[in-house]
Amino acid sequence: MNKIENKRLGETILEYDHASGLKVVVIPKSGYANTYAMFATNFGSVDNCFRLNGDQKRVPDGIAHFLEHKLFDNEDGNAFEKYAKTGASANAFTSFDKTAYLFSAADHVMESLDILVDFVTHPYFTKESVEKEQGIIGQEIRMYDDDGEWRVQFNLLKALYEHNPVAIDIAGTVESISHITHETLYDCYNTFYNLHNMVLCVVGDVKPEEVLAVCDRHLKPAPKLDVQRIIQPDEKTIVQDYIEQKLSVAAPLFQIGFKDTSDCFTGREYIRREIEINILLEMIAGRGSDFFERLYQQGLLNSQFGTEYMSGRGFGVTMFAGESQNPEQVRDELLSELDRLGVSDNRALYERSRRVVYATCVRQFNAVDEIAHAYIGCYFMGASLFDMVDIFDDITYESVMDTFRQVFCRDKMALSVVRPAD
Amino acid sequence: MAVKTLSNGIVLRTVHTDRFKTDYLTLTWVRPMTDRENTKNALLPYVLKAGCAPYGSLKQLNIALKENYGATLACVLRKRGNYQCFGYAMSFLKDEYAFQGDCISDKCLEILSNVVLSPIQKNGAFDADILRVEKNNLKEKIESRSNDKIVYGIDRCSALMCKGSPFALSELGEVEGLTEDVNTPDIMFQHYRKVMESSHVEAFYVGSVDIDQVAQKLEEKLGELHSAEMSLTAGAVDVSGGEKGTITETLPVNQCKLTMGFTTGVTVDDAQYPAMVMANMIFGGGPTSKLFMNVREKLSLCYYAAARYNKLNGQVLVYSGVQAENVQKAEDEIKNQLTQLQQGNVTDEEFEAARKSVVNALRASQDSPSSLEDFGLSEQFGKHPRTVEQFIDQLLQVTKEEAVRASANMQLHTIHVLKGEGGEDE
Repeated sequence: MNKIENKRLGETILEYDHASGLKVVVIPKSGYANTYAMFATNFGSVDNCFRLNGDQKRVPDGIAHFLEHKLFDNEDGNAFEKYAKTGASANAFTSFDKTAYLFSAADHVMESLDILVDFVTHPYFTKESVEKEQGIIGQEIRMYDDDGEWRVQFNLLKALYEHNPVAIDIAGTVESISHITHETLYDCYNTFYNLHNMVLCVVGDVKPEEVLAVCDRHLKPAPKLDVQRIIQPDEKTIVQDYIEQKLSVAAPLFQIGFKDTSDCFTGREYIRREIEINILLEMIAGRGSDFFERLYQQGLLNSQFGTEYMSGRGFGVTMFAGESQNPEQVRDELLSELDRLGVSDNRALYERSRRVVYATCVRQFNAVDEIAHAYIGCYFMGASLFDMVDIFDDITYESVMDTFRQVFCRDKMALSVVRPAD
Repeated sequence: MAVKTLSNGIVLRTVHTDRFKTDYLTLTWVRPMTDRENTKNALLPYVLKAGCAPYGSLKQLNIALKENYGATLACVLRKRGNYQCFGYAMSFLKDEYAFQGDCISDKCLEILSNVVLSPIQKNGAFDADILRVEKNNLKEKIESRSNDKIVYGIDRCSALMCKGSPFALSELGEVEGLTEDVNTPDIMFQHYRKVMESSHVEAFYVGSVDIDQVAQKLEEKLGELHSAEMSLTAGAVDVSGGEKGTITETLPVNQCKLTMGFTTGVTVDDAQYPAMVMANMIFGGGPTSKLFMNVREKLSLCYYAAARYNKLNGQVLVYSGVQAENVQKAEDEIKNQLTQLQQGNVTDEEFEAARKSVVNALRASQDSPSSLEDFGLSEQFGKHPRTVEQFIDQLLQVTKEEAVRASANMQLHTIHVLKGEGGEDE
């Protein structure tokens, strides 16, 4: 057992290497009514090409998400039916680089954990259940097709990445999922849902020994597999600097994105990168910044505007997103502002922005679900959760401005717009 | 939860806990939802924030918030029954997590008090440029609400169902109230004075400071505010002017949105209220509900099908996203599932699952300052406000038969269908 304490935050992480090969983590939160558990695998929509024991496979787009839906099924019914008896609120999600199964519960926590660990480790895929799910997921895809925010982001990714599978819709398309069979689901499951590739994180007022007992009950030692993810080498250039789509939206939605083409960071350096970029975003375009306030007063931006550094295994995009009647002008103003910041002394701005980002990292520890999400995000990138707060000791104005020069390059930028359909 | 009424009439509710890394404070003005006035009320928090004299501009106010470790001061616009609730929610890091010995809480309360009490004004009018910018911001906020087609369908169905009644009005106001010639700087300033003089004000705090100390600070900083006594009531939604039957609307969408509005006549003050909550849960309250299990899982018609119940006016709204050719099928199945419920075709497992689910969600809300506040605010509109624990106890007493009997109150009133323009094909 590895006990990590952070005195600054008053938080503790307990990490266990379970005999089965699974990493089990308990983060105690005394006095919380709710416990949140997340059982995740390091497998997402970008993992569409891999080699297992020498055999190379390219799987249909959307399979990780499809598998997520189907894993809830078992011979003796559906996991939701089981959770119905414990009252837990359960869900799951698939992102670019991970799939997670979770629940939150105030009562019957261990019974709910029992269900979670059981169904995630017992795949049951049949031809009939795969066909049935195609209808449901088809509707989910169509729901997202109407979603302007979703589309503006995916179009941005298409403009930035040519071969990187991050530009593929996580759920795939109605056409691509029609090629999914129960056999391919088993292939993916057996490759990636190996306990050595997974982590269980439980956050709340729980006893670690009870969590481990659940694992002892269900988990058998997992074999070590030789899995190679086949990653397309990433281009340093982008595909196109402008992309547009028309949808039923009230005003044009936009996302300006800068592709991060540095070698992918892992571990503490990944966290450092993320934090530095967040500090920069706050400096450049946070509330109170020259850029935001000026454009807000001019009516070019409104309160919907925000920024984000979206990153994971093999990708990183720094994004400025919102609504505007003139997205091109927003982009041009942003470029001017970046030029200006590149040659001015921004120390006071940096100090203020650093506090804001630090506070955001600390705030995460308020909520059991945010802690679990953050832990797993860090873990799969080889970092530790507390790095998010401790890294501030290493970050300086100079290191942040270095990152600024690396990230905000005009030739790595694209503008995605979703305009109102006439 | 502790309660205290301040000398100026503000009702302060606090939850004393060390659990969180931040403190949470809200200030809410409550007024009857009234046509035309609703837009002024929605605009006010934004104008006060953008035009605060000690800072001179929104930018300087934002900088002051950022200096305090990114404290947030959000404008919050809500409706509860036939009332409009508008004001601020403030969240800030606790002093012990600051880098040096910074006193964040005092500075944040100072900012809030400045915003509320010291607007930029000249000759009885707000600054015209500031007002113009905030009107535009609110207008765009209202217009972009319709981007989320699920929300749009729900808004439309409810507005059609309650046409002519206060509940049909939006807590965000209407675009017509945000043009240049309407709600001018002097009219808005007069309205500010009116709101300060004649509204009921609620304050809510979650954090490690006890109620007496919080009360003292608020008396000190917000003493000049005034809260009027107001009878806050719940009552069945008024559909007398509403449109019955099916209304179809067309927009360029890929997926149709089906929304069905029901009346129940059962609100938070009725003896049947806990049973009605259970009935709605069984019907459409989550992955164990009849709607999820049948419209989604069994028939694969949709990704979501759910029902939400308004405790203050008894309205139930069912919403689902389906393909055009399946709208009728989905509607029929939703009606069928309601009939099943009303006829008592509910297993013990279904009932217990619904109960566990709603109790679980209520317990979870206790870990969220904003959920605690929201629950507390809604309860003020009932005759006997409860705590979360008291409500859970009531739900635990409800029997399956009582829930079935309560479901008999559900009567379909309006159906709204949002469909695409062309013939969409797989």
